[in-house]
Amino acid sequence: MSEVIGLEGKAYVSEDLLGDGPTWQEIDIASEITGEDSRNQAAIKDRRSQFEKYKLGQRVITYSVTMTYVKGDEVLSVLRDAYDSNTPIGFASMTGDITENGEEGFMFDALVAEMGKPEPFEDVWTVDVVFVPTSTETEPAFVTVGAGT
Amino acid sequence: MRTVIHKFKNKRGEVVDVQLEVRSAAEYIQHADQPKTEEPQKPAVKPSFYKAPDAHI
Repeated sequence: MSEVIGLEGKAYVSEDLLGDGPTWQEIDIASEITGEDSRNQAAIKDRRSQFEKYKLGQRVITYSVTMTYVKGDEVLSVLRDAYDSNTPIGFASMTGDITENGEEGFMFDALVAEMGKPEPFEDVWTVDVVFVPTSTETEPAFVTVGAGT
Repeated sequence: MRTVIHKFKNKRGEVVDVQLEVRSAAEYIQHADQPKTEEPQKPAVKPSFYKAPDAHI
């Protein structure tokens, strides 16, 4: 059991989907990784209570990853192709190296929904990639590396 | 929960197997929502030599 800082976390992408035996490649050009996870909320408003109350619906997940724009980078090319062709890929965000026992994380079949490319005049170029889950045979899943071994 | 084998390819192009224990999001929520089992509380037992103090009026 230990705390995790951002520098230790790693994001991965796979051209194959989770159900097809993916081969993960690290997105080592990633810097900020932001996972959003919330439930849709349905408000209950009536005169029975002084308070607005809620029922919760589906979970909404998005991962935003800022990457350094590196010409010819293999992973960036995979993401660009997926975005251009609207093709699902595998995405994983882990607490550490995906080959190390005990590391854990979240993975899902994803579409690249956004791929903005700020081009600041006097700063290193970056790419802002947003991953959203897509409809495939495999549900988004929490995973632990090597558990049970 | 189930175990799957994925692969990881490093920058040198070497591919290794990765074993993962998978818990679907739905299973994860179910797991998190499970109430913690508490041990049944034993009734308080007074020591046999216990005598209630006399009430003072």
